[in-house]
Amino acid sequence: MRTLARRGQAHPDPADDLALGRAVAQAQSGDEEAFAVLFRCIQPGLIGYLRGTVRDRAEGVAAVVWQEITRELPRYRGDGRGFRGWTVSIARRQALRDAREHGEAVGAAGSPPKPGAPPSGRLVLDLLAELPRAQAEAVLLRHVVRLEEAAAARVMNRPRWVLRILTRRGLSFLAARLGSNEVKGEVLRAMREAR
Amino acid sequence: MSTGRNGLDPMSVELSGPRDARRSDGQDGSELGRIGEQVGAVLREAPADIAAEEAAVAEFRAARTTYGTAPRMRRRDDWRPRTSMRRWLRGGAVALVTSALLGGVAVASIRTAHTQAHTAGPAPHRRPRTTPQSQHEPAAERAFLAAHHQARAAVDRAHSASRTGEERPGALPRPPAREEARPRHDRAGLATPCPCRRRGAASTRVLCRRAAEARQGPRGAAEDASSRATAREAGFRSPTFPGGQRSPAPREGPVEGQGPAEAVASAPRLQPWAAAGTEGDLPLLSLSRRRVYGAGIRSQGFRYLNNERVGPVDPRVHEYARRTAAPDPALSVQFVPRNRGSAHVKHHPCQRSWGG
Repeated sequence: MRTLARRGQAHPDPADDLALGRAVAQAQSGDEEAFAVLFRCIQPGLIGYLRGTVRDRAEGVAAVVWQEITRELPRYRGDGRGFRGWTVSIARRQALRDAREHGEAVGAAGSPPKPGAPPSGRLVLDLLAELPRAQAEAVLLRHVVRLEEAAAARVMNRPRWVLRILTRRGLSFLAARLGSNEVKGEVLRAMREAR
Repeated sequence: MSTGRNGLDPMSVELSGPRDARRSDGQDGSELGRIGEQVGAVLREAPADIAAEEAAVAEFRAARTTYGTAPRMRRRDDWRPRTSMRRWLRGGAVALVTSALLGGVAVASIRTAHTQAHTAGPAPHRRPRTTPQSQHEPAAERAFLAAHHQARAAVDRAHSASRTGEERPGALPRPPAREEARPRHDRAGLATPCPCRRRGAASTRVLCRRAAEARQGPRGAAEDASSRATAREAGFRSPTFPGGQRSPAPREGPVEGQGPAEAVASAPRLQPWAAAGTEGDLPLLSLSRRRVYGAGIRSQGFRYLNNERVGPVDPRVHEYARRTAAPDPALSVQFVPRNRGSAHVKHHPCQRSWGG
């Protein structure tokens, strides 16, 4: 029961993973179409993770990450599920390097949320910026990139139980902040507009 | 549902974040999961970036032309799922290393205990017994022992002379090149090593000091006599050795052509400590707490013979040392009571057989 609930948090799609695994194998053999499929599968989670970490520089860092992915793709061994973790570990490395170069801590708070701000993902990003870096990163890996617990733990180079605690703390904080009705309504409105 | 592991009991919620993160209205794992899904959906939503995709595909095309042979896989590129075989292999390797480590420690400790049992002293059935006879020392035996020690001193002198290559027995010893390289008794101006050095084991400063004092004059002699009287009052008596003799057997046999009787005859005069009334059976003890000497570490509380631990020191030795060494502040030996601070001395099995 507990295990199912824990596993159910990330909801990785097995069919998606299978398709991704096939695309990885074909792209490694040089198929451009398969690489485009792979890009479309990976990019949303990757850009979400990078938005949560380097915020405004996410697109630039993502371009660097894709350069490295195309360069290192022949080295990769594994299936589609592992490919997500591999790409995110590359993205994490690049984000840390970017934060070092710009002298800014990863996940640092940006501008404070304005009361009448357009309800994009800005609110969530600001809330994530209030979190400690490790908690924010754990939430991003588990729920934005939708990695499994073991893969996220390997990306962050921490034990699984540490990652579980970090995720739970981050989510508890987010739930407390998003718990009030007006904020909840704002987030729901934002999601509706995004669709 | 709140269990001990899922962190939703009050304590872990309190630990889990800011104070206002505590919820009482039924927040559980499913709600946290729902929040996580919402956050993920909000952050994942993005318009399809056609330009970025085209750029990535162009880079892929360019990189594909430069692919040569398959590059070497690094560990961070290996994301294959762990099979049960790999898990077994990993677990077996860990178990193997652990068992080897623990087994090595166990075997090493066995050998250490074995060595200690051999060097710590004779077995209980071979332990030198102090008989009631030896407490009343007859004068004849005392005279014999004095002669014996003089003979041994002569033998040692002969050995040292043959080592240094000197032919004449009365010649002065050649001074060594460095002052520090000379042994202690030599620096003190003694012609021959004092009894402690000669026995090769009980290298106490007390003995050297006492010998030097005996050589210097009346103060040493008087004090030595008084201290020996004190020791007799305390009931001290030097330990006996296997075979019934009261001093350890000499390390080497006598020189050819010079038996003990001839050695006695060729002994020029009484040794200083013998002249002062010392019989040469001062206790075999080392009073320093731990002292590096020769090849090993000397532990206080044990008797040593030829640098090997042969048994525990008679407890009465400590009473003797306390009475003799304590009043003299100039004496550089600090008496350390036995069994202070060193566990292996305290719990050594040899310690238990004394006093029984």
